[in-house]
Amino acid sequence: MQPDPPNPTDEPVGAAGSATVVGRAPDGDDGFAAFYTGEFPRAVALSRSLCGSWAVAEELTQEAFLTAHRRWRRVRDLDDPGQWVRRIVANRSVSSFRRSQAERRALARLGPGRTVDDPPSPDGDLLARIADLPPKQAVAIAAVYVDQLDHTEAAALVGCSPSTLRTHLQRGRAALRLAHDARETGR
Amino acid sequence: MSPDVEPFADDELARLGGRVRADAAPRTGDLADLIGRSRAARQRSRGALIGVLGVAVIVAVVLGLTRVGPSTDSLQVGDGTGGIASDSPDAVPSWTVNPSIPVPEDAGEVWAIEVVYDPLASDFGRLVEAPGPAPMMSRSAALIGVTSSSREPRVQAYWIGDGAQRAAEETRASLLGQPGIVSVEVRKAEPTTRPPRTAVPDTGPPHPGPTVVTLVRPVLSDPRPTQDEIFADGVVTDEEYELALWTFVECAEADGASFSSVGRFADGRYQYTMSTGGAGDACYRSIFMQVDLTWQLQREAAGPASGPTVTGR
Repeated sequence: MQPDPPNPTDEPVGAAGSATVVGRAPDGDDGFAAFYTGEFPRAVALSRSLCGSWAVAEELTQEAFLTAHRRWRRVRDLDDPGQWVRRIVANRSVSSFRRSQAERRALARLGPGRTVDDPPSPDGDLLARIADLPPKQAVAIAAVYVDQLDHTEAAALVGCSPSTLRTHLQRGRAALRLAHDARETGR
Repeated sequence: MSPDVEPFADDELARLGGRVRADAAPRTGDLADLIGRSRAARQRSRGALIGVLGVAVIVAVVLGLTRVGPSTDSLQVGDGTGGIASDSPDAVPSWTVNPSIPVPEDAGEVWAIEVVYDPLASDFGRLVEAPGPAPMMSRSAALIGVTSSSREPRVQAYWIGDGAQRAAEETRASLLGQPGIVSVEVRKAEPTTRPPRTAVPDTGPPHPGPTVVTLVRPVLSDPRPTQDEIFADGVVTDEEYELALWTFVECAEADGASFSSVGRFADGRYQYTMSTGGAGDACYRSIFMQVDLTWQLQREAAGPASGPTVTGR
């Protein structure tokens, strides 16, 4: 093993001892700050509609932007870096494992005695029902109604064809109707 | 789901979306926090890379493939109390120095640490990773060798130069208190002229290391996956990791490297051992490195119980 030579870019050094590019953003701005500021609200809205609380959504979104930051030199060259981040956000927001991890971090960030739950609101029930849908149905609905994507863009976010997206939307909305009716009946 | 169920109202969902967007608008995130996390992750990643470098030396030694050239004949480091013993009959039971670093005998004092760890709570991969970047990157001392044994839960590291003692002591300080570390001893090591294959081999029973299940090599189909495709969604699954690993193995073998085992621990970590000497380095960087690091970071994020990946490279 060999001590690394001075490495002004603070990049990791690969197995052969040569500088390697892992695609991390430098600590300078490099366009990332503007990207982050501009895209964060949209991404966190998408996450909130999928994960059940603002605190968890902010944690998941921050995590997705962290991934983008570490690969910024490559992500910034994509046609739509925002879509790349939102895809990560969506994937993580529908993962119960990711959500539970984010919830723990959010609780740690908020401090003792706090909760990640949102205060009660008229939209809370419907958002919770969307979050409880099967993942692809939930992402399809969030992509179309919250992120306002057209069906082609939404299909890309979900990872399916536009026709399959329409099926996910139809089934998701039907499931929401059933859940809504059941709730109304139970009152 | 019955297809004739009336779907939830389109306009109501659209209004909900509008309210969510309005609530999200003032949420700006915390860029400073993100930068801080990114820096911390970068440090962990660098530590993992240093671990990779260290294991490369270890694997080279264990497999008996270390090239001892003229530049290193002048210095064999050891204290005569141990050596490398391998399951391989071709192993070189000697201390070694990094063959890529020319080290004259008068380069300065050599200081070493010897770490004893609990094999049930740690392993040498974690151990080599554990010292972290600062001590290992000491600019006033050169880390000239890391040795391990397949039979003993011990790892030794050697520094030479004016800052060798400090580097060893700082590494000791960074190790103490970490899970699985039983003891860390710092001592001055004496350069010797002992030729290769004459160090005292250890003869004790093998320590109960973690069980590794050998992976079955799959038939790879065309086109081979790229790293970009694998982490396009920011996540590397186990299936994707193994696909990239085997693609890397295939490429490295074509480049002249050889692999003695590719396996997986019961806790989910992967291990592979390969010959070194430069073969396969380009393959690693182009095919596997980012997937490997991403997967490791995912496991770190999953919690301390998961531990780091052990990669014999």
